[in-house]
Amino acid sequence: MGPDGLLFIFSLLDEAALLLLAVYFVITLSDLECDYLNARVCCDKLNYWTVLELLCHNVLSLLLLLCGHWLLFLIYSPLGLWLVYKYVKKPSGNIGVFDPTEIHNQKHLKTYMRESLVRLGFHLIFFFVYLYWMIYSLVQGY
Amino acid sequence: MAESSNPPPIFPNTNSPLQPQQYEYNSQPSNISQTAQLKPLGQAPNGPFFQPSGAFPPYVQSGNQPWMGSAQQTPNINGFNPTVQQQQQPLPPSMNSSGFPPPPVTPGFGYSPGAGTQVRPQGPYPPLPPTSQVPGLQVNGPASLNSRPLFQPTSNVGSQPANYQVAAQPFQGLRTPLQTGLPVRPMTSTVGSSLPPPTSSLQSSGDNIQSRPNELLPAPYHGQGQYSHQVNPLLQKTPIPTPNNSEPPSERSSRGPSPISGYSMDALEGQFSPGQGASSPGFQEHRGSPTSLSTGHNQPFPTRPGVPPGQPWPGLLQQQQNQSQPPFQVQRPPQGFPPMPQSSQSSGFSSTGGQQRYPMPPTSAIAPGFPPPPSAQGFPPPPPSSNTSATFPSPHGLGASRYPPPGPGLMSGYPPSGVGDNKLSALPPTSQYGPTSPGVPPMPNQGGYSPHYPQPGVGGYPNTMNTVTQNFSQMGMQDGQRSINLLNERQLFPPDGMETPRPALPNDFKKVNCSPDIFRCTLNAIPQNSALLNKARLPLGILIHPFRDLSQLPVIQSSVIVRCRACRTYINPFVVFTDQRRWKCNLCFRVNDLPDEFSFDPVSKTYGDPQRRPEVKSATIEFIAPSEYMLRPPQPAVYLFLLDVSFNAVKTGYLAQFCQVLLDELDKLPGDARTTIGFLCFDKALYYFNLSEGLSQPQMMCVPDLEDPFLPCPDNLLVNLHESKELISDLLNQLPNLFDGNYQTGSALGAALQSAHKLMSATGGRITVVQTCLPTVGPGALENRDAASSSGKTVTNLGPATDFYKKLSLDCSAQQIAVDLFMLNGQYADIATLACISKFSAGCIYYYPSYHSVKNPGLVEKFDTDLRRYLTRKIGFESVMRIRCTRGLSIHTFHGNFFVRSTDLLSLPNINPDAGFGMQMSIEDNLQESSTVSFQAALLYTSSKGERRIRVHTLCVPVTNQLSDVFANADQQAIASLLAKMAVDRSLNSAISDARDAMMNASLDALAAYAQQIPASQRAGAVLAPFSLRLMPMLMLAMLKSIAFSLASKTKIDDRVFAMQQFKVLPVCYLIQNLYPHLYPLLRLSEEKPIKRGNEEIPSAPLLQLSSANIDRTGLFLMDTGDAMCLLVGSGVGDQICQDVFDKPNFMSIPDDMMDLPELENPLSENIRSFINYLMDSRPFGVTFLVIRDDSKNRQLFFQHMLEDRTENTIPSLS
Repeated sequence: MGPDGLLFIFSLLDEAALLLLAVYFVITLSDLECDYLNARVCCDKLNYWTVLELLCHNVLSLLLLLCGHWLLFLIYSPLGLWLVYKYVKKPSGNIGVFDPTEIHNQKHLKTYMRESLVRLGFHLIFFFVYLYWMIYSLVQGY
Repeated sequence: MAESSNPPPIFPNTNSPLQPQQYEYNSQPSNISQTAQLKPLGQAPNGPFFQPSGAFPPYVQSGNQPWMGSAQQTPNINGFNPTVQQQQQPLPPSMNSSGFPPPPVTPGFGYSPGAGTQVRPQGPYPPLPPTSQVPGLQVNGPASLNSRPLFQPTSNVGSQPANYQVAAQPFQGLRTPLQTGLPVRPMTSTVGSSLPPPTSSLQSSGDNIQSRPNELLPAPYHGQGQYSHQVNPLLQKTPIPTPNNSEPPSERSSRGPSPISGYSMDALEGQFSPGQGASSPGFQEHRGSPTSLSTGHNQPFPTRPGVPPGQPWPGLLQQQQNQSQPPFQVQRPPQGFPPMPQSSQSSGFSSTGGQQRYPMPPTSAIAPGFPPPPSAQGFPPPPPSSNTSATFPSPHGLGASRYPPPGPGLMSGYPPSGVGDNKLSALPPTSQYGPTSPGVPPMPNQGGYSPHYPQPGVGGYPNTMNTVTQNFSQMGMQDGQRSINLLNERQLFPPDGMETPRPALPNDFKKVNCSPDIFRCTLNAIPQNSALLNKARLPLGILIHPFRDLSQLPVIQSSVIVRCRACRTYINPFVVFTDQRRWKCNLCFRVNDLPDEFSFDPVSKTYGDPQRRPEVKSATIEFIAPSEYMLRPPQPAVYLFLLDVSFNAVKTGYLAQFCQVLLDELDKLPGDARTTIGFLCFDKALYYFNLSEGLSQPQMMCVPDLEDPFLPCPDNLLVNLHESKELISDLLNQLPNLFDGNYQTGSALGAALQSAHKLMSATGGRITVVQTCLPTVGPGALENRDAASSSGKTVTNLGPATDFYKKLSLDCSAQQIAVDLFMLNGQYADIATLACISKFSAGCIYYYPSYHSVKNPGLVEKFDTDLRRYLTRKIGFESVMRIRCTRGLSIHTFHGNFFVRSTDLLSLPNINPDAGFGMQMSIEDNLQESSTVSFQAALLYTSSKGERRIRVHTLCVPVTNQLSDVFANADQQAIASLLAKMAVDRSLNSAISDARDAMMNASLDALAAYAQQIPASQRAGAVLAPFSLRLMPMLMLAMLKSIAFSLASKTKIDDRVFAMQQFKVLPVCYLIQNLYPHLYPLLRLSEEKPIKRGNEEIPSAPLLQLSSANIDRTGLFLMDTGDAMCLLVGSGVGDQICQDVFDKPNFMSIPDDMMDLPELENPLSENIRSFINYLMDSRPFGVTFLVIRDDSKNRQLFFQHMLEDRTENTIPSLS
């Protein structure tokens, strides 16, 4: 089992975590949409995970780059960079990326929901991509 | 569409006037037509009993006490008699309507002999108690109304949605209605006096339809939910001069707060007389008049599906105004206007009696049939087949021939636009036909007025029979339809202030609609779909001032608060009563059952018409909420004052003034016996005051630990106001001296707020912070960002620097704590950040830049006024406000101070009467289901007396599919207010220059969109604006030049941020005045009609436009910006005037810093002073006043407001 095998095992786990996280985001946001959750609680929950998500994603991108998987890196990293951008660009007075005072304004909730769904799809696809690569590299290793 | 249920095709074939009716009835849903048919019969005899004026005389005269159960009871029990109270007056715990034993219904009153044939629908109604049996009639009263059992099934427990969560243990201690022991009211006297026997009413009604013997009518009883005793809506309206029921007392009692005055109902009387052709030749109905039809031909009444049966008929009120109008009855365009269920009349015939009442015969009937219109304006009798529309203004007021030749004669009186002309209808016939111009191409969808016009949308509007008919007289061009060339007209501003448009609804709705001061929509005709809205390029939103001080407010205590089961909308005047047992929600269109109690009338002891309920008569109403609306026992009034006592604060000297004012107003603080108060001072440390009852003098405890502020003693920091009053007075007297020599410069506001939060979290309440400098120590310390704030053209640091205050504010909000901020800073204090503490806890912010008790006497006075008002004004605790709107609309953005807890729920720990809110709306779906949309704001709060109350405002706005209507009914003030709020958001999110661009584009786009629908020949060389939007460019200019958005002048960042904050929260009228100050020529004081206030008459002056051209050297001019007044003395003012007004010999001797006017005894001085005092009193906040000489160096203070002058600001910078 070469480095690729290890890389893609890690990728698969990481991606699975991100996938779960995306599902969690979608669920939480839809809870808010349906009024099962208070905006404050919802945003606290989501903000708690944003940094982690951001790290998971970008570490994986970095590993892909280091291991020389250019194509995968190019496809995979934009979402991570976009997460970083959003995190950095949030106004100084806001409570995290998801601000409970803003989330009901200007259809932010809908935007977040759409973003989360896109992310969900993205991670779903990449989960299988990494699964394929893992199997491929494991098979190759023997 | 409008015609769906009343298709024009029938008309050409109509030889017999009855035919259309027949058709219409058939076209209605069967139950409706049945209802309709039932009505005359069942109602005829009852009518007199339910007359507005005659309803419950004895109830009021004699009746309050005997069955009130408690002396405190206000007469609004059961909601049938809404008590008009000064709001905030505590309603004593009063009984529920269910608290009344079901009055046995006596046979023989309230029912006609014929009524006996009616049987109530068998349904889910409990069996009758034997006592309440009426021969032949089942009264559907619960067996015993007098206690809990009734109360509970009907209450909302369990079905309560998340908005007002049901308390796990309903708190009932405070509000338990008195259910038992109510003496049963002696019936005999009541009945005898209040309710005339049916026979008398029949006689007295004379030729009224109501008195028509029932036998003439078919008896179409199908058991369709008709109460035999139910009131005919028409009957209610007709004040039949029955001697014993038209007695005035009733007017005092139950009808007082009704928006539909008895008087106006009186005017409707003649409406229903069947053979009135001769007696009221000019009398016609505004809209379809099934009544007249039915009366004339013994037809049963059709129901008006859209109109709650008890409402006056749409046309009724107009008749007062239009009595002399030609009796043209005009059909609405099938396409031109979306269906208006309220106005929907199946038959669009005039009621003028005889054959002429049907001006519809295909070709030739019109001209002879219509008398020449009295208004000389020239509606020539329309040639039957010619294009009558040539006479009539198009919706734009421009294109006359927009309407294609109508079907034979039928359309001659066609109103140009659905919305606009409804409005017209309320106006006297006007002579302005506006610049009509031929040659406007027909609107695409006006195409078919042919008799065979297809009926699109029939399916879409099953319930709307939308034949809205109009009078010729109402066809007059109205201002709203005019277009104005902004390049030509200079005098745009009306001398009596900007007009406030109202939604152009049918008259009955218009009368009950929410006051525009409380609730208004930017577009008084809502576009039907978002494409149309985009075309109009106008913002759609609502502006609401929910807790406004009202002089009259119906307050209801009822066991049942009727709400839609699906969307929880409160029942309101705009719902549709499908029959007497059901109502259709106007927001979600669900059909709901009406609880029995709702139509029960305790006086007549009958189940009457739900229309009499105040809920259905007033768009603004307050309920006293039962315990389901409480999460916990209503909190007491808790006030905590956080006072800055740092060196800076002591230097300003505010403390002495603050304590003095508080001492003065201590007794007037709103609250009850539980009122709690506390004080916390802070500089670098926190100073708590122990005020417990037994102490001889207040104890001060200093806590220097800021990082983990703890409370030095668990209780006694917040004490009962009444028990510790001595100590509190002591403290207030000592406080200014206590910190007299304090040289601590730091300010630990953050820590102080944290401990205040800790202190209050058990109860909730109000924290009042007075802050004079930037908080620099402890948690929440801020840095001075001022230096970096404005470099060049970009303004930064408009947003908060940290989220500390925002988080704390949300914590406060969760604990029902609001934080109000008084900023008295001279230096930069980062209001942008500090304001967050108030913004999200629904507090309010006051700002007195460079306050100093000696150096700045003008502000001292303003602070004094503001503080007094602040301390004594009404307050609501632990409140939430929910905004509901008709399906298809949704709230896009919220503006104001609050925390949005869920999509439509605002969490407002405190609500104060000066807070305004704005919501941008978006159209999600086509608004086809109804011809109106409604917005409902329900504010649930705990009054300072510990009562849970719900204040409900409902606004109803028509829907249109015509762009021209959208423009004609735009509300420029509301639009400007909403744009200001949006611009603030834009400034914070991107940049001020973006916001400025957006503002300019907003007005440009709107005008361009308007111009596009005007023929190019007229557009050339003109800047056209609809009359309704003629001031919008000016208001945008004012916004560009305002402190908040101006880039040209060096503005302190705090001033700017505060101005933005004000834009967010000010109610419309103050915001507009802030933008575009009022300028009065004081030497022309008698030119306007004097204002009446109480007994005195105050002279008033015309408003001038803000241009230096209006200023002359020999005048006195008053500039009133809302929070400041400047009196400019022209340099050429005569010595006599100087002597009379200023008590100075000549112009030169008037000092520069004159802050008030001497009280001199001459007419000029008295007039000016009374006028200025009137202006000052008419606003809820203080004003600074300054006399400025024309040659003074302060001149700029006055002339900076001359918005229309070309100054450096005038050319908007596009950078």
